[in-house]
Amino acid sequence: MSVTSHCIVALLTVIYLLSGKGYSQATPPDTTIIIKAIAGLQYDQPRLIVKPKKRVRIILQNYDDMAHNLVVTQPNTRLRVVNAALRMGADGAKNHYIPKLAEVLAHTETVEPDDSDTLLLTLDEGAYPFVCTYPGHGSLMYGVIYATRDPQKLPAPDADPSLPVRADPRVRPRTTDPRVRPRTTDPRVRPRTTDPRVRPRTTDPRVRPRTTDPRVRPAAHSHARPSDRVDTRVHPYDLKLPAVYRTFMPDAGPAAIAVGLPGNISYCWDAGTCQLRYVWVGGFVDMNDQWDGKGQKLTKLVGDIIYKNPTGNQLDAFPLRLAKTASVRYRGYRLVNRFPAFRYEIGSMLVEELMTPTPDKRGLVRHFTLPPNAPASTFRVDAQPGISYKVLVNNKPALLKNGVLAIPPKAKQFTIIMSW
Amino acid sequence: MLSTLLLTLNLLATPADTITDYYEIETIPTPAGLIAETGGLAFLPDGRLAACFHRGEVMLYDPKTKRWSLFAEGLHDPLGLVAISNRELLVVQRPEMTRLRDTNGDGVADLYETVSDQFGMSGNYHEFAFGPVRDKQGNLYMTLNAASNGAGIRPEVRGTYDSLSRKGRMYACVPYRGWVMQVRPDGTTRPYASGFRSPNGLGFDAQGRLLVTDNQGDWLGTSKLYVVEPGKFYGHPASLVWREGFPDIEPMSLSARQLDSMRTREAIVFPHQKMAHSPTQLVTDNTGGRFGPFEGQTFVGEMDFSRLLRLLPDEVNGQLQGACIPFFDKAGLQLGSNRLAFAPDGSLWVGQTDHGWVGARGLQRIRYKGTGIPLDLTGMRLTKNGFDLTFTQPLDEAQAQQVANYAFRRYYYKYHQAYGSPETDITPVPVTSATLSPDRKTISLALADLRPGYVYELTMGPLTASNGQKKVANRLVCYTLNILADPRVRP
Repeated sequence: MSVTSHCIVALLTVIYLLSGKGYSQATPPDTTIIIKAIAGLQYDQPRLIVKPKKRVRIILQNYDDMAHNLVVTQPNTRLRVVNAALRMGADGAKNHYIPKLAEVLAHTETVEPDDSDTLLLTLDEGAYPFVCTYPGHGSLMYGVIYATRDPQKLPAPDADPSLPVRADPRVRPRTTDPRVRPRTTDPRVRPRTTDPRVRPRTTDPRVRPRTTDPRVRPAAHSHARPSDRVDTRVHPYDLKLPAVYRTFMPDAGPAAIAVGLPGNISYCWDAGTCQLRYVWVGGFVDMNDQWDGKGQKLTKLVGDIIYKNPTGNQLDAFPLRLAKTASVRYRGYRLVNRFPAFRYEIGSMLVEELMTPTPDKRGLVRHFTLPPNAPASTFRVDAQPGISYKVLVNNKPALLKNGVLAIPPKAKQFTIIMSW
Repeated sequence: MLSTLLLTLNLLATPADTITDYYEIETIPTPAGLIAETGGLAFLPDGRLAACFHRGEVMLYDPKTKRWSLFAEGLHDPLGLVAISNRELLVVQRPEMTRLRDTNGDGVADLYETVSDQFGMSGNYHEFAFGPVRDKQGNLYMTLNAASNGAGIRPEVRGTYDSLSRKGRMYACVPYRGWVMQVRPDGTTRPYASGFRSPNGLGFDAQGRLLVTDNQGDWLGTSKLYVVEPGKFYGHPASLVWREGFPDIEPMSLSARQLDSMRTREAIVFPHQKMAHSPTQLVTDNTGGRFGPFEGQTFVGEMDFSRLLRLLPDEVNGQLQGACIPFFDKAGLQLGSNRLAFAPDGSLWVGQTDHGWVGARGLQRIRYKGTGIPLDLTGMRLTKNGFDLTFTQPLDEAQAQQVANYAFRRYYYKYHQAYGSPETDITPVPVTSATLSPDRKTISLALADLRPGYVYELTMGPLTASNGQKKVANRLVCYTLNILADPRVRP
């Protein structure tokens, strides 16, 4: 190892330079973080912790023998950005594989071996993925920047679902249901409760039962739990998928709903606009912040968004054109083997929408049931990076023309199959 | 000497006569894994309890088997329940009123039908939705909290956005925040009455009047109880933004005096600290005496103190006003009593919450032992020159007729934009005579001065009954004097 790289190592030890206290300058200097791209499609520092709303300078130094970049994305959008980069085709290289998406917060250009590039960004509180969007790199070469004033609340590094899986999975046993992350540490001490089972739990952050990456199967070991184990259930029952949570969801209206399906495919359906807002994969939700206290904070997604409806917030951009009126009214849902079938009225016609995973768990089947004697209608799908569509009318294959499915009158049902 | 000692021991052994001699309290174990922030309680026709909790669960509890089971899940902060049948509940959660129905009889709801979501949401945490309650005609009511300027709103809101009340400490930037809503049997929803801030308590009195509690804060000098009637405005101005025909102005730009002239006053004031900090649900004793001597009276929950409140209504010239008095004060009730429900056996079930504020979690049950009657006030009625106080049983005569045993002071709470209010214009009011009725249950007090628009706070002396064996359970009672018994004099 050269002297230079020793110096870099020394610099890296000040990565966790969190505090701005003690600086008296009017403009405090940026926090500078050096990240090395190293052999084996990885960043040497996959997990960074910075202060929210403070400018951060990230220097990517390429110690590998192939080209890389570093793209910081909005929370939970790494896969979407990676998929979009993949679809850039011939335009990719000259644009440094940086797709034009709002989800891209900051990026370096392509960094050739032994070269470096710098990016600057300021982050609000949150967990921001960073990733190399070079084709084939993004599924392994990524990490996360936590902008937080509360670093002790973060998951332990060896049980952080935002990190790529590198270590022997046996050292990361799944401690609890990976789909909902319970809080074992209640920051507000609540000594008044008389029921010993709802007492505040241990505050040792090391025993916080964070989930591991759900894509990793736990090693084959006994799931028998010692009798004195902390009960990490977040409900008085084990959460079963499919599951529905009405909660405050990010990037949606305040009446949105989280649905987790088997196969760790999850989606957000907005009861305000009666539209699918987005789909994510790799996990379900983290309810800790939303449940804690008075309920202002949003639920967090666990996993990566793979589909986003660009007009899901617009009532007048309703994808199903069934009646002259665009007015849609939410009517609730029924559970079919725990899968929610959402119901809404377009004009006076009741439509039902139920979503199931594809058998290979690489897609989502949207089943729409139309009212009796439905008039001719259309359904519009969005072109999305990484998403392909198949459509059926009355369970028979049909065709999309310019992204629109024409549904004949009196059709009973139609199906949109999204695959990734 | 020995006899003196024996007498002393005998005196020491005399029961202290506390409320727990007449009522017992029991904490109901809740299942492991349940964060028992109780949002709603209701008894099913078959005697099981339905309870909903902050993390979205609706659980059923069978008091006979002491078993809990899950009925519904995934609701957003459900804060009230009404049982329609053994298989059907109505619940209010943040975004809507929902009908939960078990259509296949497996004990678990499979239909989550939207009954009413005809109101806005900004995403502000303080926009809680409370209720429902159902009147005899089958109308349902829910209340919609105003938003708090302690937090912002979401980039996307549900409903029309209007910024005119945003300057307020509490604001109503989407429709019908700060309103009581009515859902009629035909399914239509209408904004029913306005002027509320944080109305975390709905119920009916024995006459079927809709009562709503509201919480001390801006425009509420103290917590209070309203008799809610359609179209009326009850005082918190933010909600006026959504009143039909209200001009396009900031409601806070009106003076307190203008707003005061528009509002309907509360029926009963809950003096801050002395009675309540945060009143919650109210429930009327319909147990036919199985809950003791308070049949037909209304009980109110309270978040910050170990007590409930009991209302002593008084109809004066056709208008309801009256008094409040503690019930089961510091007798083993946890803090955070948020929801109340009478069980078929006449016991009162109390669900607690803290929810980021003062409080506790859990479920308790207060049962009348059925042996003996506590000495307590059952009525306080305004007369032409004072008040008639009626007790559960004949008072010991000598004490009862001493005017020194009745200390009145009067004061009012300001109606203004500021948060809360001091007791204002505090004046002691002498009692000039105390006359006991022939049955010794009612004492008629004459006061030197009666003035409308004041709280008359009475502290009683150590009144007793049964030759000193029984002590009056609560000595503090607060009467809200809105109007005088003489119809020609109005505030």
